[in-house]
Amino acid sequence: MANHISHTNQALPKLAELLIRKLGVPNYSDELIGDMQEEYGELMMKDPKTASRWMWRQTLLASWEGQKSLWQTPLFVSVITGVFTAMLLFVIVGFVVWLSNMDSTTPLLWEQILNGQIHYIVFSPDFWQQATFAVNNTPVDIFMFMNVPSVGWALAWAVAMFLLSKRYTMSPRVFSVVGMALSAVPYLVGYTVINTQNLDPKQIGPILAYMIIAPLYILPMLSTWAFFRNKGSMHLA
Amino acid sequence: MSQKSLGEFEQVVMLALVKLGDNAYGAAIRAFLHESISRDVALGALYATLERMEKKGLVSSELGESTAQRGGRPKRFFAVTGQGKLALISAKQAMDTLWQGISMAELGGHHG
Repeated sequence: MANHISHTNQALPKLAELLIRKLGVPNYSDELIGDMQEEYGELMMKDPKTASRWMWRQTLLASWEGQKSLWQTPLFVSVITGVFTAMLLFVIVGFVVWLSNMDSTTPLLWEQILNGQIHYIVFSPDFWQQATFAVNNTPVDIFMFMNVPSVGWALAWAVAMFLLSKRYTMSPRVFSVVGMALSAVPYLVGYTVINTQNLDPKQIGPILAYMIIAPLYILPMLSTWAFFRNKGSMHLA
Repeated sequence: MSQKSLGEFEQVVMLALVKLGDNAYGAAIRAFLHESISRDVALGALYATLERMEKKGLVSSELGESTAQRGGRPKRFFAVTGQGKLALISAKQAMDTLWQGISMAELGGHHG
């Protein structure tokens, strides 16, 4: 039933071994390399070209499986959530400071503001130039970042996440994805309202504030919650 | 029923462990699946699945002997745990129930 095991001793190329050790499933890399060496030795006796192709295919697949496993670990999910949160917070703070201190801007940026198109604005070089100037040259007032509707949504988010966690068993990845998705709701709601109602700029301002400040409250909560939730099961392997 | 259902590949691997008995290590499992059901399984995918099942408590493992042909590396032998056997039985019962009353002719297939 099992293969006849020949007594060759065909070592794997050093590169293949290195890839499996560094990128493969960490706990069993030694055993996997041993298994590969067994079968590689047999194949080399029959057809070296086929053996070589087989060995590299197994190496690449083992590396892929190892990385796939890593992406699903609680540690990786927590790190990615934290990095994503930090990046978004940086953008949000810049946007709020810029908008709060804006006297004038380019016609394109102004039009995008009136259309609630923050997702375009933050990719504009003009925005970054103006935001950098605003951050460096105006005192940052904590009241810029206070928004009552955003507090309300943040509390609703926390309650919703708590209830969902109780009701469903969520993996670290699902928890982070659901948390992020719910944090984007104010943005989607605000964008829809701006683009479906005929609002003047004074009415758009508070909506923009809600769109952008709600995630500012939620994302640090999500990141911290995900970290402590996953802390018990965080390991590299 | 409180236990989670097994994936198709998990079932296949666990059945291979049962069939192989004391000789259920990576290369042998791979060879068995190829010979018996013509399934070419990558060693990486096999070990990833075995690791996942070990964490769930469905299989257990222990290190075996090292050999020169393995570069002095040990084999790791796997076995299905009691919990794993219950999961397998549950999976089989579920499939048997679903298959009841369905003939191969109905599916346009044939035995063997």
